[in-house]
Amino acid sequence: MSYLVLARKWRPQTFTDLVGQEHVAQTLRNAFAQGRIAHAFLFTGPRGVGKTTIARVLAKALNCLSSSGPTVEPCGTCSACEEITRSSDVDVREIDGATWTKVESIRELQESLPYLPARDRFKIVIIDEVHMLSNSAFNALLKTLEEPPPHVKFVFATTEAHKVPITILSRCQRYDFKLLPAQKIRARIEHILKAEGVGFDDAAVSLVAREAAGSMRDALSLLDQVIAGSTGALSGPDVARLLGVADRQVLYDLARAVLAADPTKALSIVQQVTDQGYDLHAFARDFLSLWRDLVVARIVHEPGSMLDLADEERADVLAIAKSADAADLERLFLAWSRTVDDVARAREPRWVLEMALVRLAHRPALVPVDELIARLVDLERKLGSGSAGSDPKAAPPRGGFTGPQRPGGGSTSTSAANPHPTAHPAPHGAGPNGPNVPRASAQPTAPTQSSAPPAPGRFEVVRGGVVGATAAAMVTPVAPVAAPASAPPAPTPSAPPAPKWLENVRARGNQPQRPSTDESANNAAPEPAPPPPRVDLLDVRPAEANVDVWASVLAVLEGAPLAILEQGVPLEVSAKKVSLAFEANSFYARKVSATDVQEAVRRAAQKAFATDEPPVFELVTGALPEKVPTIAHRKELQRQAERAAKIEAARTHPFVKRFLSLVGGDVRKIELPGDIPNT
Amino acid sequence: MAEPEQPKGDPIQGLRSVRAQSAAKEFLQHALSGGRLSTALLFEGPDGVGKERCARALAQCSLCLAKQPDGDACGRCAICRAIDAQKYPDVITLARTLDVLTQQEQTGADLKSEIVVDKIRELQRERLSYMPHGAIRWVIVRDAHELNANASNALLKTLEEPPANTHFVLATHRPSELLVTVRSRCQRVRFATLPESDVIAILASRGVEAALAKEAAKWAEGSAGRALAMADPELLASRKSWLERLLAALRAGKPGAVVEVSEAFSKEAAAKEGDEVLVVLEMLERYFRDEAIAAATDARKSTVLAARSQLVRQTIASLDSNLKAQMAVESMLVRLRDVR
Ligand SMILES: [Zn+2]
Ligand SMILES: [Zn+2]
Repeated sequence: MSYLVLARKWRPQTFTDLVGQEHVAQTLRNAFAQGRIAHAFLFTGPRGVGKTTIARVLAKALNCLSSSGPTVEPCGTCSACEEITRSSDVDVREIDGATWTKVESIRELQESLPYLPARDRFKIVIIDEVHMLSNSAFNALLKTLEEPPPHVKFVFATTEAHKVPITILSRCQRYDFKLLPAQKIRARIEHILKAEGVGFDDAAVSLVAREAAGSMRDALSLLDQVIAGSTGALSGPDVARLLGVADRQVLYDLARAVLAADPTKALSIVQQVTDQGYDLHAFARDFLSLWRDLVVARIVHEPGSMLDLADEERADVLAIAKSADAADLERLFLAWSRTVDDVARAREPRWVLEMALVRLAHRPALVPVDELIARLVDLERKLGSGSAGSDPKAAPPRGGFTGPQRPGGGSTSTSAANPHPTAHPAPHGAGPNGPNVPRASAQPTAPTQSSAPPAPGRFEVVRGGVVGATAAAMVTPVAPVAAPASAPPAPTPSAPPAPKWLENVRARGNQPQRPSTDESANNAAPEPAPPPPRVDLLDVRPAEANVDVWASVLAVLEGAPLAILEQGVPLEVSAKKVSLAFEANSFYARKVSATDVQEAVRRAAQKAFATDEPPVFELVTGALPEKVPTIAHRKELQRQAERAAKIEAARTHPFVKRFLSLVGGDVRKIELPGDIPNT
Repeated sequence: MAEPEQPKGDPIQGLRSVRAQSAAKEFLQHALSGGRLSTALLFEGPDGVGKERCARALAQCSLCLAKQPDGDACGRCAICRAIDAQKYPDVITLARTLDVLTQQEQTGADLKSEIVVDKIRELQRERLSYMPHGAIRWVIVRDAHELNANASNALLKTLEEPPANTHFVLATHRPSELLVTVRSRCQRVRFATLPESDVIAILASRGVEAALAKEAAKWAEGSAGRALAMADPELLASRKSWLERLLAALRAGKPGAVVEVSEAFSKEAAAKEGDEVLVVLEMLERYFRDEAIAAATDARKSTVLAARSQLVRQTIASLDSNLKAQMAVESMLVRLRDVR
């Protein structure tokens, strides 16, 4: 009654039947011919490429009764061959390593091995998934492998040879099985379909072969699935539907939509794919392999077998690739590779796809530097000959140089909200600072842009001439911004040991009385510490000198909100005492009145000053003057200075200057990455 | 009006009682009638869209005493009813949480977030080793991605060469987490998200009041399971109000507001069962995603909104790795503000 799956029905019964592992079959044949038959074999390689199958064929080859000794061509009809095929030969034991773990069963096996086989030439032990054996099982096996009875042969099969102990490996003759090329799978599928009397077209077979990804068993499982689901002959679209893979055309349409900066179209394709219940992870993966194919098609002159595609598909891929820019394709491939990972993890993969596509469709344009220069030269010539008016807008250069218009896209150029147009808002590998962490410890964020001097490369031109760079040989015309002279010196990043200059302020103070460290302080309403002294208008002048020290204390702070403490005015920060001032009755003052926050500060200070006792904490509240020396304020100043420097760098960038000198215009406005769009 | 305990919903009466999922049902019916249904099936698709229900309906089809002409189960015979009530002994459910095999040992074992190998061995030893003549058996593995590596490996042989008349259905919403050696042995059946109308109908069958069902379905992304989890008026209102408060803090843009709302939010969430933070953050992700799509043609606006949606997604991913909720939410709000 149960259906016998194709993978079992068509399991090869001879070495010659087995497709794709000819090297294994050949080596075994040679060994047989020379009479050098090992007593332990290890078959390793990916899933579904024939390891267990060959193990059984090998058992028949060793035991076939139609020949006087081991033979590479077992008859398949003698009682040994037949029983091995049915897994009922008493002398051939097939063991599932994953379930066969009881010590008793191993002992039982070992005790049975010295006895001669009941009928066959050899006692053969096949252990599948051998990497799953327990250590005690491996140890027991090892003893037998070291001194095997002459009539015993072992065959081990595993997908994970690295999990097999080296002591076992070294006693086996090892055979590495390979993934199968799509053509071989295709041929085998065609053979089986013909024998089964099922009609098919090329696209159907290609699709199954491609989805099998090198595994014959996968191919036959998929084939089962499509035969079971279709009526009559197998056709490409049917197979695509049944396997839940998008038709290639859908992928091509999506790539075209992204390249043409058409997010609406891209989103409608996602909608369509979702409605049809496609596996979105597989879809994202297929889309990645399309970008890969497009990059190859674009940059390799004669891609040949580097593109594993049917002829029609190849033509489509070449056509799309031709219309696109190589660097752009590389950028899209990179960005999409990250999206694939996110899709796999997300509970709602659809949103991940959509958001990535929106951003990619709106990615900033790339314009080659040489083309830019050519345009400038062209413009210069035209201006020189007086053919263009004085208004630069009268003769806009092709493409996205002056702003909103993008080549081919027609949509507005995007903000360079992120210099890397990737799937992530925070660029990967953005340098030592990693993804932007705005609430990072007290150190000011150093500029993350590359300091490489402008080199021949490509631009991303965004409104106002601010430029971001992508990984592949792009330049960032925004010069790196050195910390402005006005900015305070950077406190040591995350400096755990107390800085040297703290030595002179280090002192052993009076032991402050320890407020109770009540665990429940967290949950209960903030338990007020001793009532803070009240001062009316606070004198915050002494604090200026303490901001750096305070920053190094906060650098080692744990268990309290940094954002709040950065708002405090450090009236005193020493080994004896930390005194912070806040505006009376403010949100911050309320927060800092909690004992757990104060305790955290005391611990941090103790650590920073390396003293035996934590200092006293004092909370001062009152009216604060307008300008206060706090870390928050300093960070803000720093940010403003950096911004000013970046704007200046953009304004004085050689390309901008050259452009202005050519067109005689003026820079009205410069927007930086991260600026607020006026909506 | 809802009954005291949660109503079970409509009874399972063959494949026709499985809502939507026409592609999956069509495939199964076709394969069944053609005698080509594999004995190892992998049901994959979002959680809460009827995979397990469909597996039981399929078992009914093979065991029904009064099969209908189209091959579907009658839904009324003793066996069909026993399967629906999960009382039929030869339809076995294997799961981390509900384990009919080890009822006697209701110890801490069930708290593990994986299906351990002992369960598979027990299944093989006690349930699959003996089969009365002519019997047909079904093993349904719920959340099959929770099979740990040992358990998966232990299943491989059984999946590939199962005992006679034994069928396996592995149901999962995370197919990519299954061992590739397991997937390679299964016939895959895809389940899609449910249309909103079906989600509402399923909620109604469980006694959820109409307006609430509609509102819950809106946030459920085509999953009846998720909609059911949402269909608690108080919970839904609280979640929506948190969404509003997070957005308000974002608009206010003051560090104080951000810290305050993050703290209050994570505290309240910690006091509740389940993944409140996760649910609300997914609502936030969805909010930005909807806005981004509405603004798709506006490059700047949609880019910013998409980046925000992605940032929330990253925060959710980091929550999975046990980052402290308050810190994560606080940092997220600060960064969201910076993405403009
Ligand atoms: Zn023979
Ligand atoms: Zn029935």
